Amino acid sequence: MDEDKQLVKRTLKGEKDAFEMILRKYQQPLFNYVGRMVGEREMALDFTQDIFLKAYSFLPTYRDDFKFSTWLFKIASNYLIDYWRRKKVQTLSYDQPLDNGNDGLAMQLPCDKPSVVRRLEMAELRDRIEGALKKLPCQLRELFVWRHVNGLSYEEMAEIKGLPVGTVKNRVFQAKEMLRRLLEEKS
Amino acid sequence: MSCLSPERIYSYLDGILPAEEARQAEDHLSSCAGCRTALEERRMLALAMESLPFLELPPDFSARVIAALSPGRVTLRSWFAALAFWLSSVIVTLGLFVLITGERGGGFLLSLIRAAWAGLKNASLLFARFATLVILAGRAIRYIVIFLVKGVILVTSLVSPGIQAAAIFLSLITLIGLWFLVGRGRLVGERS
Repeated sequence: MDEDKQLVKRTLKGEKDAFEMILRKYQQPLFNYVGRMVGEREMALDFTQDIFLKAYSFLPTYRDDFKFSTWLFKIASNYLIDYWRRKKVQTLSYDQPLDNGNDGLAMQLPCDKPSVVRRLEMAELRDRIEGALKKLPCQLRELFVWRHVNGLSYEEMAEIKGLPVGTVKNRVFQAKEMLRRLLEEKS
Repeated sequence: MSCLSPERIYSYLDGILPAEEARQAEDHLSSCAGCRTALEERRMLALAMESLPFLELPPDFSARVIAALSPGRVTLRSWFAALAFWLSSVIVTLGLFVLITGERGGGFLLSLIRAAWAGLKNASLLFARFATLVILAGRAIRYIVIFLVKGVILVTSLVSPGIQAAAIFLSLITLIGLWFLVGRGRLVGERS
């Protein structure tokens, strides 16, 4: 049995220090995700704390045929969906085409103009990416962050969202292409 | 082969193109400068994306979360430990009392047992009264239910079956409406 599952078992027996170990392991990945989804530091800290408290109270319902990290990110994702719903932020279905059908992957290559990627230093490029990320639709941003910041596999993301792996891959490619386009537009 | 689509480029960079398609893409890349540039740009972009910095957490974050947790479950071992501690405290207190007051241990124990017996008798009396009250409440509820059933029988004998069906239909619609309203307010964790 893997380490996370052992820690969950120990937490369920009443050992709070086992949950603290889970917390220390996942606080940074979860905060990296939540922070980039909500954009405001203090709010992201409150949300991350709430998500851990929720996870703690739902721990008796955790089934160990799931990977713990997948289960935790699913709780976080549902938490954020509820937040957007309360805020009345328009969210897209994953099967819905973006931008009136222009999904970012339809555009043709290449372009003669020297790309922003070549003109900028890596540090500046990262800053620009962080800025452009805020303009991505929530669903695309979520998958992008999971893939490129949290390093989740397409299969893990598909399991969290309950979507086919192909759909997830396609959406991650769209997110990257849309991000690239935003960087080019800004420069 | 025509130029590579962005999707194909990303799949190639991710190493998830099937072997044959990857070979075709490489053939094309070797002869198309435009696609090579596009691939290189996306590779550099991917490098930048994968090295985005971690967001800084306050050092006391985990302590804050632990402090906010509700009290943990109490294990059986803790219950026994608490019981053992309580019993030993009682014994020590009694021993001290006997030592300090100079009372005889036997006499003190006898008066203690008498007091406990009187307390038990009073508690039994109180319990018996409470049980009587519960039985009376049960009877009252039974009469109310019988009254309601008779009322329903009477109403159904007076109202035509059509009106009865309409009333049942309306009740169902109301219940479903309420269920949807309550369902919308569910917590996020209930889905996970």
